[in-house]
Amino acid sequence: MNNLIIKRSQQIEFRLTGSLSAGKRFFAVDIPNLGRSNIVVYGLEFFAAAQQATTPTGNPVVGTTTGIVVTLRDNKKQEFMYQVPMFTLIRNNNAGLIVLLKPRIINLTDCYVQITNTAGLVLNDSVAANIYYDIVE
Amino acid sequence: MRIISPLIEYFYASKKMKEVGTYEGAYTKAVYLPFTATVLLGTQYYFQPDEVLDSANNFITGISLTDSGTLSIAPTSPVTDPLSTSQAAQGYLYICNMKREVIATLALSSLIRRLQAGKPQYLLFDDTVVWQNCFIQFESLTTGINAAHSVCLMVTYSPKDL
Repeated sequence: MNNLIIKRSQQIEFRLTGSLSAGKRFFAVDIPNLGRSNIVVYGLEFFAAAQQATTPTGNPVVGTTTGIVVTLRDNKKQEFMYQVPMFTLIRNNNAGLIVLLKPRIINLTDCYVQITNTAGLVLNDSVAANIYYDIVE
Repeated sequence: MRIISPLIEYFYASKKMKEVGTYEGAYTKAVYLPFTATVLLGTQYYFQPDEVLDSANNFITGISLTDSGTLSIAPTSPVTDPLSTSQAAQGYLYICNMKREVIATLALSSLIRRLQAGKPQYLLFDDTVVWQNCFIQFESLTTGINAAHSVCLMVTYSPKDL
Protein backbone atom coordinates (compact mmCIF):
# COMPACT_ATOMS: atom_id res chain seq x y z
CA MET A 1 0.00 0.00 0.00
CA ASN A 2 1.40 3.37 -1.01
CA ASN A 3 0.76 6.91 0.06
CA LEU A 4 1.54 10.30 -1.39
CA ILE A 5 4.59 12.36 -0.47
CA ILE A 6 3.93 16.11 -0.31
CA LYS A 7 6.40 18.14 -2.35
CA ARG A 8 4.31 21.29 -2.60
CA SER A 9 0.74 21.86 -1.51
CA GLN A 10 -1.82 24.59 -1.77
CA GLN A 11 -5.23 25.02 -0.24
CA ILE A 12 -7.92 25.62 -2.84
CA GLU A 13 -11.62 26.28 -2.45
CA PHE A 14 -14.85 26.23 -4.42
CA ARG A 15 -17.16 28.86 -3.00
CA LEU A 16 -20.89 28.21 -3.19
CA THR A 17 -21.99 31.64 -4.38
CA GLY A 18 -25.11 32.89 -6.15
CA SER A 19 -27.72 30.22 -5.57
CA LEU A 20 -27.66 26.60 -4.52
CA SER A 21 -29.15 24.31 -7.11
CA ALA A 22 -28.47 20.77 -8.21
CA GLY A 23 -26.13 20.55 -11.19
CA LYS A 24 -24.83 24.12 -10.98
CA ARG A 25 -21.06 24.43 -11.37
CA PHE A 26 -19.03 26.21 -8.72
CA PHE A 27 -15.53 26.90 -10.04
CA ALA A 28 -12.32 26.98 -8.01
CA VAL A 29 -11.36 30.36 -6.63
CA ASP A 30 -8.39 31.78 -8.54
CA ILE A 31 -4.95 31.67 -6.96
CA PRO A 32 -2.89 34.01 -9.16
CA ASN A 33 0.49 32.33 -8.77
CA LEU A 34 -0.99 28.93 -9.67
CA GLY A 35 -3.39 30.11 -12.34
CA ARG A 36 -1.05 30.22 -15.32
CA SER A 37 -1.17 26.52 -16.20
CA ASN A 38 2.11 26.29 -14.32
CA ILE A 39 1.41 23.39 -11.96
CA VAL A 40 1.34 19.64 -12.41
CA VAL A 41 -1.09 18.15 -9.91
CA TYR A 42 -0.40 14.61 -8.75
CA GLY A 43 -2.69 14.31 -5.74
CA LEU A 44 -5.59 15.90 -3.94
CA GLU A 45 -7.51 15.73 -0.72
CA PHE A 46 -10.86 17.21 0.26
CA PHE A 47 -11.90 18.19 3.78
CA ALA A 48 -15.01 17.89 5.87
CA ALA A 49 -15.98 20.67 8.31
CA ALA A 50 -14.89 18.50 11.22
CA GLN A 51 -11.38 18.48 9.79
CA GLN A 52 -11.26 22.11 8.71
CA ALA A 53 -13.75 24.55 10.12
CA THR A 54 -12.76 27.52 7.95
CA THR A 55 -10.65 28.01 4.82
CA PRO A 56 -7.56 30.28 4.95
CA THR A 57 -9.67 32.95 3.24
CA GLY A 58 -12.10 32.88 6.15
CA ASN A 59 -15.04 31.04 4.60
CA PRO A 60 -16.83 28.28 6.53
CA VAL A 61 -16.33 24.79 5.12
CA VAL A 62 -19.44 22.92 3.94
CA GLY A 63 -21.17 20.92 6.64
CA THR A 64 -22.02 17.92 4.48
CA THR A 65 -19.86 16.00 2.02
CA THR A 66 -22.26 13.52 0.46
CA GLY A 67 -24.13 15.80 -1.96
CA ILE A 68 -21.17 17.14 -3.93
CA VAL A 69 -19.24 15.83 -6.95
CA VAL A 70 -15.87 17.08 -8.18
CA THR A 71 -14.56 17.59 -11.72
CA LEU A 72 -10.97 18.46 -12.62
CA ARG A 73 -10.00 19.84 -16.00
CA ASP A 74 -6.55 19.97 -17.52
CA ASN A 75 -5.10 22.79 -19.58
CA LYS A 76 -6.67 21.29 -22.72
CA LYS A 77 -10.11 21.53 -21.12
CA GLN A 78 -10.31 17.77 -20.83
CA GLU A 79 -12.32 16.66 -17.83
CA PHE A 80 -9.91 13.98 -16.75
CA MET A 81 -11.62 13.44 -13.40
CA TYR A 82 -15.36 13.77 -13.91
CA GLN A 83 -18.00 14.02 -11.20
CA VAL A 84 -16.18 12.03 -8.56
CA PRO A 85 -18.04 12.11 -5.22
CA MET A 86 -16.30 14.49 -2.82
CA PHE A 87 -16.75 11.96 0.00
CA THR A 88 -14.36 9.53 -1.66
CA LEU A 89 -11.65 12.19 -1.90
CA ILE A 90 -11.51 12.74 1.87
CA ARG A 91 -8.40 11.17 3.31
CA ASN A 92 -9.85 9.65 6.43
CA ASN A 93 -12.63 8.01 4.41
CA ASN A 94 -9.84 6.11 2.63
CA ALA A 95 -7.92 4.72 5.60
CA GLY A 96 -5.59 7.73 5.57
CA LEU A 97 -4.57 7.37 1.94
CA ILE A 98 -4.40 10.47 -0.22
CA VAL A 99 -5.81 10.17 -3.74
CA LEU A 100 -3.03 10.04 -6.34
CA LEU A 101 -3.65 11.28 -9.88
CA LYS A 102 -1.79 10.76 -13.10
CA PRO A 103 0.24 14.01 -13.10
CA ARG A 104 -1.34 16.67 -15.28
CA ILE A 105 -1.12 20.38 -15.83
CA ILE A 106 -4.44 21.72 -14.61
CA ASN A 107 -6.22 24.94 -15.22
CA LEU A 108 -7.33 25.62 -11.66
CA THR A 109 -10.19 27.97 -12.44
CA ASP A 110 -11.65 25.45 -14.93
CA CYS A 111 -12.07 22.87 -12.18
CA TYR A 112 -15.43 22.79 -10.49
CA VAL A 113 -17.77 21.08 -8.05
CA GLN A 114 -21.46 20.40 -8.57
CA ILE A 115 -24.16 19.89 -6.02
CA THR A 116 -26.30 16.79 -6.26
CA ASN A 117 -28.19 17.38 -3.03
CA THR A 118 -28.60 20.83 -1.48
CA ALA A 119 -29.64 19.47 1.94
CA GLY A 120 -27.27 20.70 4.63
CA LEU A 121 -25.45 23.14 2.36
CA VAL A 122 -25.32 26.85 3.10
CA LEU A 123 -24.85 29.65 0.57
CA ASN A 124 -21.33 31.18 0.57
CA ASP A 125 -19.77 28.22 2.37
CA SER A 126 -16.75 26.70 0.65
CA VAL A 127 -15.74 23.26 -0.50
CA ALA A 128 -12.14 22.99 0.74
CA ALA A 129 -9.35 20.92 -0.70
CA ASN A 130 -5.59 20.62 -0.82
CA ILE A 131 -3.80 19.97 -4.08
CA TYR A 132 -0.34 18.40 -4.20
CA TYR A 133 1.71 19.55 -7.13
CA ASP A 134 5.01 20.26 -8.84
CA ILE A 135 5.89 23.49 -10.61
CA VAL A 136 6.14 23.21 -14.40
CA GLU A 137 9.80 23.71 -15.30
CA MET B 1 6.15 -12.04 -10.69
CA ARG B 2 5.29 -8.51 -9.69
CA ILE B 3 3.95 -6.21 -12.35
CA ILE B 4 4.44 -2.48 -11.78
CA SER B 5 2.59 -0.06 -14.02
CA PRO B 6 4.56 2.78 -15.62
CA LEU B 7 2.54 5.25 -13.56
CA ILE B 8 3.43 3.56 -10.27
CA GLU B 9 7.04 3.40 -11.39
CA TYR B 10 6.95 7.11 -12.16
CA PHE B 11 5.55 7.94 -8.70
CA TYR B 12 8.32 5.96 -7.04
CA ALA B 13 11.09 7.39 -9.22
CA SER B 14 9.96 10.98 -8.75
CA LYS B 15 9.56 10.45 -4.99
CA LYS B 16 5.91 11.42 -5.02
CA MET B 17 4.80 8.21 -3.35
CA LYS B 18 6.16 5.59 -0.99
CA GLU B 19 4.99 2.47 0.76
CA VAL B 20 3.06 3.14 3.94
CA GLY B 21 4.48 1.94 7.22
CA THR B 22 8.01 1.63 5.96
CA TYR B 23 11.07 3.66 6.83
CA GLU B 24 9.99 7.18 7.72
CA GLY B 25 13.21 8.89 8.66
CA ALA B 26 16.42 8.34 10.52
CA TYR B 27 15.33 10.46 13.49
CA THR B 28 12.15 11.70 15.10
CA LYS B 29 11.82 14.87 17.08
CA ALA B 30 8.94 16.32 19.08
CA VAL B 31 8.41 20.03 18.56
CA TYR B 32 6.19 22.02 20.89
CA LEU B 33 4.73 25.43 20.26
CA PRO B 34 3.12 26.58 23.52
CA PHE B 35 0.96 29.67 23.41
CA THR B 36 1.71 32.46 25.84
CA ALA B 37 -1.73 34.08 25.65
CA THR B 38 -5.13 33.58 24.09
CA VAL B 39 -4.68 32.71 20.43
CA LEU B 40 -5.83 35.34 17.95
CA LEU B 41 -7.47 34.85 14.61
CA GLY B 42 -5.16 35.22 11.61
CA THR B 43 -2.01 35.67 13.68
CA GLN B 44 1.11 33.82 12.57
CA TYR B 45 2.69 31.79 15.37
CA TYR B 46 6.26 31.00 14.38
CA PHE B 47 8.37 28.11 15.61
CA GLN B 48 11.57 28.63 17.53
CA PRO B 49 14.73 28.39 15.38
CA ASP B 50 15.81 24.77 15.05
CA GLU B 51 18.89 24.10 13.01
CA VAL B 52 18.26 20.36 13.14
CA LEU B 53 15.04 20.81 11.19
CA ASP B 54 16.44 23.32 8.69
CA SER B 55 16.82 21.46 5.45
CA ALA B 56 20.31 22.84 4.99
CA ASN B 57 21.27 20.19 7.57
CA ASN B 58 18.55 17.57 7.43
CA PHE B 59 15.50 17.00 5.30
CA ILE B 60 12.08 16.54 6.79
CA THR B 61 10.44 13.29 5.75
CA GLY B 62 7.20 13.44 7.70
CA ILE B 63 5.09 15.38 10.17
CA SER B 64 2.25 14.32 12.42
CA LEU B 65 0.24 16.31 14.93
CA THR B 66 -0.11 14.87 18.41
CA ASP B 67 -3.59 15.70 19.64
CA SER B 68 -5.08 15.47 23.13
CA GLY B 69 -6.53 12.05 22.26
CA THR B 70 -2.99 10.80 21.70
CA LEU B 71 -1.18 12.60 24.52
CA SER B 72 -3.22 14.14 27.33
CA ILE B 73 -0.52 16.47 28.68
CA ALA B 74 2.43 17.85 26.73
CA PRO B 75 5.89 17.81 28.39
CA THR B 76 6.25 21.57 28.25
CA SER B 77 7.10 23.81 31.16
CA PRO B 78 4.62 24.87 32.40
CA VAL B 79 2.59 21.87 31.29
CA THR B 80 0.09 22.42 28.48
CA ASP B 81 -2.65 20.43 26.78
CA PRO B 82 -2.11 19.37 23.17
CA LEU B 83 -4.78 20.66 20.80
CA SER B 84 -8.02 18.70 20.61
CA THR B 85 -9.35 17.61 17.22
CA SER B 86 -11.86 20.46 17.17
CA GLN B 87 -9.12 22.98 17.99
CA ALA B 88 -6.85 21.48 15.33
CA ALA B 89 -9.62 21.74 12.75
CA GLN B 90 -9.31 25.51 12.99
CA GLY B 91 -5.65 25.81 12.02
CA TYR B 92 -3.02 25.29 9.37
CA LEU B 93 0.69 24.58 9.33
CA TYR B 94 2.55 26.63 6.72
CA ILE B 95 5.93 25.32 5.54
CA CYS B 96 8.18 28.08 4.21
CA ASN B 97 11.48 28.26 2.37
CA MET B 98 14.42 30.64 2.82
CA LYS B 99 12.57 33.43 1.04
CA ARG B 100 9.58 32.97 3.35
CA GLU B 101 7.54 31.67 0.45
CA VAL B 102 4.84 29.24 1.53
CA ILE B 103 5.60 25.97 -0.21
CA ALA B 104 3.05 23.82 1.58
CA THR B 105 -0.21 24.50 3.39
CA LEU B 106 -1.19 21.63 5.65
CA ALA B 107 -4.46 21.36 7.56
CA LEU B 108 -3.55 20.49 11.15
CA SER B 109 -6.35 17.97 11.55
CA SER B 110 -5.22 15.90 8.58
CA LEU B 111 -1.84 15.51 10.30
CA ILE B 112 -3.40 13.65 13.25
CA ARG B 113 -2.14 10.15 12.63
CA ARG B 114 -4.74 8.23 14.63
CA LEU B 115 -7.51 9.76 12.48
CA GLN B 116 -5.79 8.59 9.27
CA ALA B 117 -5.72 4.90 10.14
CA GLY B 118 -2.19 5.34 11.52
CA LYS B 119 -0.73 6.65 8.30
CA PRO B 120 1.79 9.46 8.69
CA GLN B 121 2.05 12.41 6.34
CA TYR B 122 5.13 12.05 4.14
CA LEU B 123 6.95 15.16 2.99
CA LEU B 124 9.85 15.85 0.67
CA PHE B 125 10.60 19.45 -0.21
CA ASP B 126 12.88 20.46 -3.06
CA ASP B 127 13.24 23.96 -1.58
CA THR B 128 15.35 24.64 1.49
CA VAL B 129 12.96 24.72 4.45
CA VAL B 130 13.83 27.09 7.28
CA TRP B 131 12.04 25.93 10.41
CA GLN B 132 11.83 29.36 12.02
CA ASN B 133 10.03 30.63 8.91
CA CYS B 134 7.32 27.98 9.33
CA PHE B 135 4.24 28.96 11.27
CA ILE B 136 0.82 27.99 12.54
CA GLN B 137 -2.22 30.13 11.83
CA PHE B 138 -5.83 29.76 12.94
CA GLU B 139 -8.66 30.85 10.66
CA SER B 140 -11.51 30.30 13.10
CA LEU B 141 -11.60 30.11 16.87
CA THR B 142 -15.05 28.81 17.73
CA THR B 143 -13.25 26.49 20.16
CA GLY B 144 -10.90 28.77 22.05
CA ILE B 145 -7.16 28.19 22.39
CA ASN B 146 -5.12 29.85 25.12
CA ALA B 147 -1.95 29.66 27.19
CA ALA B 148 -3.03 26.27 28.55
CA HIS B 149 -2.58 24.73 25.08
CA SER B 150 0.28 23.92 22.75
CA VAL B 151 0.80 22.59 19.26
CA CYS B 152 2.68 19.29 19.44
CA LEU B 153 4.30 18.00 16.28
CA MET B 154 6.29 14.83 15.70
CA VAL B 155 8.78 15.54 12.94
CA THR B 156 10.77 12.79 11.27
CA TYR B 157 13.90 13.74 9.39
CA SER B 158 17.02 12.31 7.85
CA PRO B 159 20.52 13.73 7.51
CA LYS B 160 21.32 15.25 4.14
CA ASP B 161 24.09 12.80 3.44
CA LEU B 162 21.88 9.70 3.79
